Amino acid sequence: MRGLFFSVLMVGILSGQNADSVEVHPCDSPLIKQTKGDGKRPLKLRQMLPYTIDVVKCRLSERGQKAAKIRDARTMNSAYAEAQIFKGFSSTCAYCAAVMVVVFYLSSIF
Amino acid sequence: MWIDKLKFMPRMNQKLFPLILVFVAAVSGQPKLHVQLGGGYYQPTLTALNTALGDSSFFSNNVLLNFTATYQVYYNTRIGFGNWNSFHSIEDSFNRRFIYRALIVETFFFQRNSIEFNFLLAPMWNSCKISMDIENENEDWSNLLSSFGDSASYSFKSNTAMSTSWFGFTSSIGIRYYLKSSLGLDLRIGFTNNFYDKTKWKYGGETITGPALKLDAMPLFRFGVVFAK
Repeated sequence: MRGLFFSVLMVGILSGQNADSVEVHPCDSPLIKQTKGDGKRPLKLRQMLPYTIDVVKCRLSERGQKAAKIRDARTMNSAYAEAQIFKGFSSTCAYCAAVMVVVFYLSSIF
Repeated sequence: MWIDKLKFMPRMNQKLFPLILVFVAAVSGQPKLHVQLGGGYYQPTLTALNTALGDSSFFSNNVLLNFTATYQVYYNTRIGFGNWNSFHSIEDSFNRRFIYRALIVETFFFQRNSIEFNFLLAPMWNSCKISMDIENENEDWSNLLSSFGDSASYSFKSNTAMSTSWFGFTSSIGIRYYLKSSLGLDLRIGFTNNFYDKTKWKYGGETITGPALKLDAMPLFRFGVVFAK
Protein backbone atom coordinates (compact mmCIF):
# COMPACT_ATOMS: atom_id res chain seq x y z
CA MET A 1 0.00 0.00 0.00
CA ARG A 2 2.83 2.34 0.99
CA GLY A 3 4.74 1.36 -2.17
CA LEU A 4 1.70 2.18 -4.30
CA PHE A 5 1.35 5.57 -2.60
CA PHE A 6 4.99 6.47 -3.27
CA SER A 7 4.75 5.22 -6.88
CA VAL A 8 1.69 7.43 -7.48
CA LEU A 9 3.45 10.38 -5.83
CA MET A 10 6.59 9.83 -7.92
CA VAL A 11 4.62 9.55 -11.18
CA GLY A 12 2.68 12.66 -10.22
CA ILE A 13 5.87 14.64 -9.62
CA LEU A 14 7.46 13.40 -12.83
CA SER A 15 4.46 14.00 -15.04
CA GLY A 16 3.70 17.31 -13.35
CA GLN A 17 6.96 18.81 -14.49
CA ASN A 18 5.79 19.99 -17.88
CA ALA A 19 2.04 19.99 -17.59
CA ASP A 20 1.26 23.42 -19.02
CA SER A 21 4.64 24.84 -19.90
CA VAL A 22 6.62 25.17 -23.11
CA GLU A 23 8.77 22.09 -23.80
CA VAL A 24 12.23 22.81 -22.36
CA HIS A 25 15.10 20.43 -22.89
CA PRO A 26 16.16 18.99 -19.50
CA CYS A 27 19.74 20.20 -20.12
CA ASP A 28 18.38 23.78 -20.34
CA SER A 29 16.51 23.47 -17.05
CA PRO A 30 16.65 26.72 -15.03
CA LEU A 31 17.66 24.67 -11.99
CA ILE A 32 20.73 23.24 -13.77
CA LYS A 33 21.65 26.71 -15.04
CA GLN A 34 21.24 28.04 -11.51
CA THR A 35 23.96 25.69 -10.21
CA LYS A 36 26.45 26.54 -12.97
CA GLY A 37 28.31 29.59 -14.19
CA ASP A 38 29.56 32.68 -12.39
CA GLY A 39 26.32 33.60 -10.64
CA LYS A 40 25.62 30.12 -9.31
CA ARG A 41 23.32 29.92 -6.32
CA PRO A 42 22.63 27.03 -3.94
CA LEU A 43 19.42 25.05 -4.40
CA LYS A 44 16.62 25.10 -1.89
CA LEU A 45 15.68 21.82 -0.30
CA ARG A 46 12.43 21.53 -2.28
CA GLN A 47 14.36 22.10 -5.54
CA MET A 48 16.67 19.13 -4.96
CA LEU A 49 14.32 16.45 -6.34
CA PRO A 50 13.33 18.33 -9.54
CA TYR A 51 17.02 19.21 -10.04
CA THR A 52 18.08 15.56 -9.69
CA ILE A 53 15.35 14.49 -12.14
CA ASP A 54 16.51 17.13 -14.65
CA VAL A 55 20.14 16.04 -14.28
CA VAL A 56 19.26 12.37 -14.89
CA LYS A 57 17.01 13.25 -17.86
CA CYS A 58 19.72 15.49 -19.30
CA ARG A 59 22.40 12.80 -18.89
CA LEU A 60 20.21 10.21 -20.63
CA SER A 61 19.26 12.48 -23.51
CA GLU A 62 21.20 12.43 -26.80
CA ARG A 63 22.56 15.90 -26.12
CA GLY A 64 23.67 14.86 -22.63
CA GLN A 65 25.44 11.78 -23.99
CA LYS A 66 27.28 13.87 -26.58
CA ALA A 67 28.32 16.34 -23.88
CA ALA A 68 29.51 13.47 -21.66
CA LYS A 69 31.62 12.08 -24.55
CA ILE A 70 33.20 15.49 -25.12
CA ARG A 71 33.90 15.86 -21.38
CA ASP A 72 35.37 12.35 -21.27
CA ALA A 73 37.74 13.06 -24.18
CA ARG A 74 38.70 16.41 -22.68
CA THR A 75 39.50 14.80 -19.30
CA MET A 76 41.62 12.09 -20.91
CA ASN A 77 43.50 14.63 -23.03
CA SER A 78 44.11 16.82 -20.01
CA ALA A 79 45.38 13.83 -17.95
CA TYR A 80 47.65 12.85 -20.84
CA ALA A 81 48.97 16.40 -21.25
CA GLU A 82 49.72 16.70 -17.55
CA ALA A 83 51.39 13.32 -17.09
CA GLN A 84 52.96 12.35 -20.43
CA ILE A 85 56.38 12.97 -18.91
CA PHE A 86 57.62 12.70 -15.36
CA LYS A 87 57.88 15.90 -13.39
CA GLY A 88 59.85 16.52 -10.20
CA PHE A 89 60.59 13.76 -7.72
CA SER A 90 58.14 11.24 -9.19
CA SER A 91 60.67 9.78 -11.63
CA THR A 92 62.93 8.78 -8.72
CA CYS A 93 60.10 6.74 -7.22
CA ALA A 94 59.40 5.13 -10.59
CA TYR A 95 63.05 4.17 -11.22
CA CYS A 96 63.28 2.78 -7.70
CA ALA A 97 60.15 0.62 -8.13
CA ALA A 98 61.20 -0.60 -11.58
CA VAL A 99 64.72 -1.52 -10.49
CA MET A 100 63.46 -3.36 -7.40
CA VAL A 101 60.98 -5.44 -9.39
CA VAL A 102 63.54 -6.28 -12.10
CA VAL A 103 66.20 -7.22 -9.53
CA PHE A 104 63.67 -9.36 -7.61
CA TYR A 105 62.72 -11.40 -10.69
CA LEU A 106 66.30 -11.67 -11.95
CA SER A 107 67.44 -12.89 -8.52
CA SER A 108 64.68 -15.50 -8.45
CA ILE A 109 65.71 -16.77 -11.91
CA PHE A 110 69.47 -16.98 -11.31
CA MET B 1 44.19 26.18 35.38
CA TRP B 2 43.17 24.01 32.45
CA ILE B 3 43.27 27.07 30.18
CA ASP B 4 47.05 27.37 30.74
CA LYS B 5 47.49 23.97 29.15
CA LEU B 6 46.17 25.34 25.87
CA LYS B 7 48.90 27.98 25.53
CA PHE B 8 50.94 25.73 23.29
CA MET B 9 48.24 25.91 20.60
CA PRO B 10 49.13 29.30 19.04
CA ARG B 11 52.80 28.22 18.84
CA MET B 12 51.81 24.90 17.25
CA ASN B 13 49.46 26.61 14.80
CA GLN B 14 52.25 28.87 13.55
CA LYS B 15 54.05 25.79 12.24
CA LEU B 16 51.13 23.53 11.54
CA PHE B 17 48.80 25.90 9.71
CA PRO B 18 51.09 26.63 6.71
CA LEU B 19 51.79 22.90 6.37
CA ILE B 20 48.08 22.06 6.41
CA LEU B 21 47.43 24.86 3.90
CA VAL B 22 50.09 23.53 1.50
CA PHE B 23 48.80 19.97 1.84
CA VAL B 24 45.16 20.97 1.29
CA ALA B 25 46.11 23.13 -1.70
CA ALA B 26 48.11 20.27 -3.24
CA VAL B 27 45.32 17.76 -2.65
CA SER B 28 42.43 19.96 -3.83
CA GLY B 29 44.45 21.19 -6.84
CA GLN B 30 44.36 17.76 -8.49
CA PRO B 31 41.07 16.19 -7.51
CA LYS B 32 41.42 12.62 -8.73
CA LEU B 33 40.22 9.78 -6.57
CA HIS B 34 40.95 6.28 -7.85
CA VAL B 35 39.26 3.25 -6.34
CA GLN B 36 40.39 -0.18 -7.48
CA LEU B 37 38.70 -3.54 -6.95
CA GLY B 38 40.43 -6.66 -8.10
CA GLY B 39 42.27 -9.83 -7.41
CA GLY B 40 45.78 -11.11 -7.34
CA TYR B 41 47.95 -14.19 -7.46
CA TYR B 42 50.85 -14.79 -5.08
CA GLN B 43 52.85 -17.76 -3.86
CA PRO B 44 53.24 -18.07 -0.11
CA THR B 45 54.47 -21.33 1.42
CA LEU B 46 51.76 -22.27 3.91
CA THR B 47 52.57 -26.00 4.20
CA ALA B 48 52.82 -26.03 8.01
CA LEU B 49 49.51 -24.20 8.38
CA ASN B 50 47.65 -26.24 5.77
CA THR B 51 48.91 -29.50 7.28
CA ALA B 52 47.64 -28.39 10.70
CA LEU B 53 44.28 -27.29 9.33
CA GLY B 54 44.03 -30.38 7.15
CA ASP B 55 42.57 -28.59 4.17
CA SER B 56 43.66 -26.15 1.46
CA SER B 57 42.79 -25.02 -2.02
CA PHE B 58 44.14 -22.82 -4.80
CA PHE B 59 41.77 -20.03 -3.74
CA SER B 60 42.80 -20.14 -0.09
CA ASN B 61 46.51 -20.43 -0.85
CA ASN B 62 47.22 -18.25 -3.85
CA VAL B 63 44.38 -15.81 -4.46
CA LEU B 64 44.18 -12.31 -3.01
CA LEU B 65 41.16 -10.04 -3.07
CA ASN B 66 42.12 -6.42 -3.38
CA PHE B 67 40.71 -3.00 -2.56
CA THR B 68 42.78 0.12 -3.17
CA ALA B 69 41.96 3.80 -2.85
CA THR B 70 44.43 6.44 -4.01
CA TYR B 71 44.33 10.20 -4.44
CA GLN B 72 46.27 12.15 -7.05
CA VAL B 73 48.26 14.79 -5.17
CA TYR B 74 50.66 15.82 -7.94
CA TYR B 75 50.80 15.59 -11.75
CA ASN B 76 52.39 12.14 -11.65
CA THR B 77 51.79 10.99 -8.11
CA ARG B 78 49.05 9.29 -6.16
CA ILE B 79 49.06 8.34 -2.50
CA GLY B 80 46.61 6.07 -0.78
CA PHE B 81 45.75 2.86 1.00
CA GLY B 82 45.64 -0.71 -0.24
CA ASN B 83 44.16 -3.82 1.31
CA TRP B 84 44.71 -7.41 0.13
CA ASN B 85 42.90 -10.33 1.73
CA SER B 86 43.41 -14.08 1.62
CA PHE B 87 40.70 -16.25 3.16
CA HIS B 88 40.58 -19.87 4.19
CA SER B 89 37.39 -21.07 5.78
CA ILE B 90 36.73 -24.65 6.86
CA GLU B 91 33.13 -25.51 7.59
CA ASP B 92 32.44 -25.98 11.32
CA SER B 93 36.12 -25.48 12.04
CA PHE B 94 38.87 -22.90 11.68
CA ASN B 95 38.86 -19.64 9.71
CA ARG B 96 42.16 -18.20 8.57
CA ARG B 97 42.60 -14.71 7.17
CA PHE B 98 45.71 -12.90 5.93
CA ILE B 99 45.37 -9.12 5.65
CA TYR B 100 48.05 -7.19 3.80
CA ARG B 101 47.68 -3.42 4.24
CA ALA B 102 49.82 -0.95 2.33
CA LEU B 103 50.41 2.79 2.43
CA ILE B 104 50.83 3.46 -1.26
CA VAL B 105 53.04 5.95 -3.07
CA GLU B 106 52.43 5.53 -6.79
CA THR B 107 53.87 7.46 -9.68
CA PHE B 108 52.70 7.19 -13.26
CA PHE B 109 52.95 8.61 -16.72
CA PHE B 110 50.81 8.36 -19.83
CA GLN B 111 52.47 6.64 -22.74
CA ARG B 112 49.43 7.33 -24.91
CA ASN B 113 46.13 9.07 -24.42
CA SER B 114 44.53 6.16 -22.59
CA ILE B 115 47.52 4.04 -21.56
CA GLU B 116 49.22 4.70 -18.27
CA PHE B 117 52.35 3.07 -16.85
CA ASN B 118 52.52 3.08 -13.07
CA PHE B 119 55.14 2.35 -10.43
CA LEU B 120 54.26 1.56 -6.85
CA LEU B 121 56.24 1.59 -3.62
CA ALA B 122 54.48 0.78 -0.36
CA PRO B 123 55.40 -0.10 3.20
CA MET B 124 53.03 -2.72 4.62
CA TRP B 125 51.47 -3.65 7.94
CA ASN B 126 50.20 -7.21 7.66
CA SER B 127 48.40 -9.60 9.93
CA CYS B 128 47.09 -13.14 10.15
CA LYS B 129 44.24 -14.38 12.30
CA ILE B 130 43.16 -17.96 12.88
CA SER B 131 39.84 -18.22 14.65
CA MET B 132 37.09 -20.67 15.45
CA ASP B 133 33.50 -20.32 16.60
CA ILE B 134 32.91 -22.66 19.51
CA GLU B 135 29.44 -23.86 20.43
CA ASN B 136 28.86 -25.80 23.64
CA GLU B 137 26.64 -26.10 26.71
CA ASN B 138 27.18 -24.23 29.94
CA GLU B 139 25.51 -25.34 33.17
CA ASP B 140 25.62 -21.89 34.82
CA TRP B 141 23.94 -20.25 31.85
CA SER B 142 21.36 -23.04 31.68
CA ASN B 143 20.56 -22.65 35.41
CA LEU B 144 20.24 -18.84 35.05
CA LEU B 145 17.90 -19.09 32.05
CA SER B 146 15.80 -21.83 33.64
CA SER B 147 15.39 -19.64 36.76
CA PHE B 148 13.67 -17.12 34.46
CA GLY B 149 11.38 -19.82 33.13
CA ASP B 150 13.32 -20.59 29.90
CA SER B 151 13.48 -24.34 30.02
CA ALA B 152 14.44 -25.04 26.39
CA SER B 153 17.90 -26.37 25.55
CA TYR B 154 20.37 -23.61 24.56
CA SER B 155 23.89 -23.80 23.19
CA PHE B 156 26.40 -21.07 23.97
CA LYS B 157 28.66 -19.55 21.35
CA SER B 158 32.08 -18.01 21.72
CA ASN B 159 34.99 -17.15 19.43
CA THR B 160 38.65 -17.85 20.09
CA ALA B 161 41.50 -16.62 17.95
CA MET B 162 45.25 -16.52 17.59
CA SER B 163 46.79 -13.67 15.67
CA THR B 164 50.03 -12.03 14.68
CA SER B 165 51.18 -9.01 12.71
CA TRP B 166 54.35 -7.97 10.96
CA PHE B 167 55.88 -5.32 8.72
CA GLY B 168 56.39 -5.78 5.03
CA PHE B 169 57.13 -4.01 1.81
CA THR B 170 55.73 -4.19 -1.70
CA SER B 171 56.69 -2.81 -5.06
CA SER B 172 55.13 -3.22 -8.47
CA ILE B 173 55.09 -1.91 -11.99
CA GLY B 174 51.93 -1.93 -14.05
CA ILE B 175 49.95 -0.81 -17.01
CA ARG B 176 46.50 0.74 -16.91
CA TYR B 177 44.16 1.08 -19.86
CA TYR B 178 41.42 3.67 -19.50
CA LEU B 179 38.20 2.61 -21.24
CA LYS B 180 36.78 6.00 -20.22
CA SER B 181 38.24 8.81 -18.17
CA SER B 182 36.43 7.35 -15.16
CA LEU B 183 36.95 3.63 -15.80
CA GLY B 184 40.14 1.65 -16.35
CA LEU B 185 41.66 -1.82 -16.31
CA ASP B 186 44.86 -2.30 -14.34
CA LEU B 187 47.47 -5.07 -14.63
CA ARG B 188 50.56 -5.25 -12.41
CA ILE B 189 53.58 -7.38 -11.71
CA GLY B 190 55.56 -7.00 -8.53
CA PHE B 191 56.63 -8.60 -5.30
CA THR B 192 56.11 -8.39 -1.55
CA ASN B 193 58.66 -8.81 1.17
CA ASN B 194 57.49 -9.79 4.65
CA PHE B 195 59.25 -9.85 8.01
CA TYR B 196 57.11 -12.60 9.51
CA ASP B 197 58.24 -14.13 12.81
CA LYS B 198 56.55 -17.35 13.96
CA THR B 199 57.43 -16.67 17.62
CA LYS B 200 55.28 -13.54 17.83
CA TRP B 201 51.78 -14.97 17.72
CA LYS B 202 49.27 -14.04 20.41
CA TYR B 203 46.60 -16.24 21.91
CA GLY B 204 44.44 -14.82 24.71
CA GLY B 205 47.05 -12.16 25.48
CA GLU B 206 49.86 -14.72 25.75
CA THR B 207 52.76 -14.89 23.29
CA ILE B 208 52.91 -18.27 21.59
CA THR B 209 54.71 -19.96 18.69
CA GLY B 210 52.72 -20.15 15.45
CA PRO B 211 53.17 -22.01 12.18
CA ALA B 212 56.39 -21.69 10.19
CA LEU B 213 55.26 -19.76 7.11
CA LYS B 214 57.51 -18.66 4.28
CA LEU B 215 56.34 -15.20 3.30
CA ASP B 216 59.66 -13.39 3.00
CA ALA B 217 59.79 -12.80 -0.76
CA MET B 218 56.79 -13.49 -2.93
CA PRO B 219 55.98 -12.65 -6.54
CA LEU B 220 52.69 -10.85 -6.95
CA PHE B 221 50.42 -10.45 -9.98
CA ARG B 222 47.40 -8.25 -9.77
CA PHE B 223 44.45 -7.39 -11.95
CA GLY B 224 41.80 -4.84 -11.15
CA VAL B 225 39.07 -2.52 -12.33
CA VAL B 226 39.68 1.14 -11.52
CA PHE B 227 37.00 3.73 -10.94
CA ALA B 228 38.24 7.32 -11.11
CA LYS B 229 36.41 10.38 -9.91
